[in-house]
Amino acid sequence: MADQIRVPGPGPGPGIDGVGITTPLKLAASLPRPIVFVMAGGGAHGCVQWGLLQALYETDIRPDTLIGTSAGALTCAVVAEDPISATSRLTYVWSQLDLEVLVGDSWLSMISAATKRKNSIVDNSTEQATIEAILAARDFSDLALPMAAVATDLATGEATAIDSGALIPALLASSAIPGVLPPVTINGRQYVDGLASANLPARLAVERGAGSIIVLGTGSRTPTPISTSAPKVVSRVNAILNASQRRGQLVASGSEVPVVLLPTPDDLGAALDFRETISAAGKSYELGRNYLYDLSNLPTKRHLRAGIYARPSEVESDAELVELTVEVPDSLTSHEPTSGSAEVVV
Amino acid sequence: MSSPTSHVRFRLPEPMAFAFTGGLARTAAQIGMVPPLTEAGLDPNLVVGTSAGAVNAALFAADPADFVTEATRLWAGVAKDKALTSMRRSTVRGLASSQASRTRNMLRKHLERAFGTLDFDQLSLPLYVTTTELESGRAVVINSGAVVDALLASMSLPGVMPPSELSDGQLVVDGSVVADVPVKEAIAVGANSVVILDSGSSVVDESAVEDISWYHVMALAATHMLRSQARHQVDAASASIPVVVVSSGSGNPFDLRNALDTVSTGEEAARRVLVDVDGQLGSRRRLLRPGRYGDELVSQ
Repeated sequence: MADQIRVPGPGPGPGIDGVGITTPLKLAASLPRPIVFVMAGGGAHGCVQWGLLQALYETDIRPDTLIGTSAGALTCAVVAEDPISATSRLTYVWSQLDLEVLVGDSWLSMISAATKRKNSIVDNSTEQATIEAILAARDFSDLALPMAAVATDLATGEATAIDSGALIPALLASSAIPGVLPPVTINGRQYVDGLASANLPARLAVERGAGSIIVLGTGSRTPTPISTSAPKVVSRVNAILNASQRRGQLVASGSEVPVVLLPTPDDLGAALDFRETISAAGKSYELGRNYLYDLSNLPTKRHLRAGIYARPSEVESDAELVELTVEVPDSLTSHEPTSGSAEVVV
Repeated sequence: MSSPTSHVRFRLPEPMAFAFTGGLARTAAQIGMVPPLTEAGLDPNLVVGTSAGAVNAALFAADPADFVTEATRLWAGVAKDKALTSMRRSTVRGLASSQASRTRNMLRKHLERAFGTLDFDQLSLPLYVTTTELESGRAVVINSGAVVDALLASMSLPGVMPPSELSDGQLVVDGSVVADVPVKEAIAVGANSVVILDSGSSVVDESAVEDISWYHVMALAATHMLRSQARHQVDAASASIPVVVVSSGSGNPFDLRNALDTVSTGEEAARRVLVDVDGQLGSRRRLLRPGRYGDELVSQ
């Protein structure tokens, strides 16, 4: 059997809707400034943000500032150091990223950590080398746009936006998966992955003065079956915690400013599985592009008002979210359930 | 009972709830918080509890006057149980499927000693115990049936104890996953004001984070995740009703052997908050308006 490749279908151009304009430009002007891109953490699922960024760029929506957690913080840094070339450079990043370039080939150290008193299972030297290969910037002041990386203060649990000083330690701190990668010391305090406090740091974006927020999530995993086995329960509880955090962040931000919640695929594999990242990015690009097209056609005043602008499926499970949501109905995917994507047999 | 002069000048709209947070060993601080609160004239009409805090809530609901004695006895019994108090061993048991119910059985023994076959309708105050439903990820509140069963369900720490099955077949785990600070749940069952007896969250002291094992880093981050929702929930609640927060900032949740060491910290926290809130109000006796009073919940 030949593998199938999956590429995004064409956009809502003249051939489809007869309008003749594929880029709904008026959307960018209706977002109150500063526009903040908020990027959630999610390991390999960060590829979703690469696809969503492509969709945003086609629609001429660019960030004034960025804030991100974990893998999202790294993507923020790629955009912040040169917004013009960001989506092109991300193509080369994601086509080379895998688990080995992040944690190395370190089964040996995993075994020794379990027996010794050490604060992580693997060290972060491989990850550091990879981040340094991806980015030219070494300090927040080297970046063209302001950005913040969110990490969790290990002692207090506080979500902390790091936005000045050395860039690489901030990114390592933001993505220091607790127990797996070592906590990072910055200005005398120990930090771990922002996932422990604000995996989708929309509330911090509001506190830092956002006029409007573009949320680039990381999709969701294939749901695990409900079971009483300990690993499945732990994995399920993780998903519950993540969803609950996301809800809190979206409610808090959506009641203050317009929050553009880009749709994300819902059937991604494990967060550290890098095998499907390119096709997942393609799927995200297509979902994002169609959503932005529909959003730009919503009847609105000159500026979007506060609320969560989302596909109903992104918020439907939650009454609190639904209350704040301005629905963006799908006008493009009625003909094909997978939004007109082409599956090509090689 | 102490003299009326120790009464605070503020009153809370009824029904008033005591909300006991989760936090394993640290919830022993709640034993110290109760006497200053009740001596000040704050008598709840209902109690809500999560995880280990639910045990304290149930002891209080069973007999408020006897709470300190009974809670001290229960926690002292747990402290002496070496097989139960080793978190490392509990985790190993929890992850080995054949051993998974053993921790629950050990815990059940301690709870049955305190509660016997007591049912919710035999309590002197209405009690609400939080759990987290695995399928929907929502908080499910239990307020009927055998008290011990509800408490075990509320304490089903993922990875350490297996999920509990409720009478309608729902699988639930520890209430602290989505309701570590059960303030939203207190409002849902009718509270018009809430006093939060918060055991805090930090696993280790700030000075100690420099030298902890990967296992503790993981556990610490997990508790931060639970708590990251609490601030939002307290903020949302205090927009509609008065919420008084008493927060104790010390102790290691996993150090069950020395849990009772945190009692005095809890007592100090409660006294401090009562003085602070009274001080904010000036000399007039008054009903608190919606808002948050007392301590701030740390972590976002």
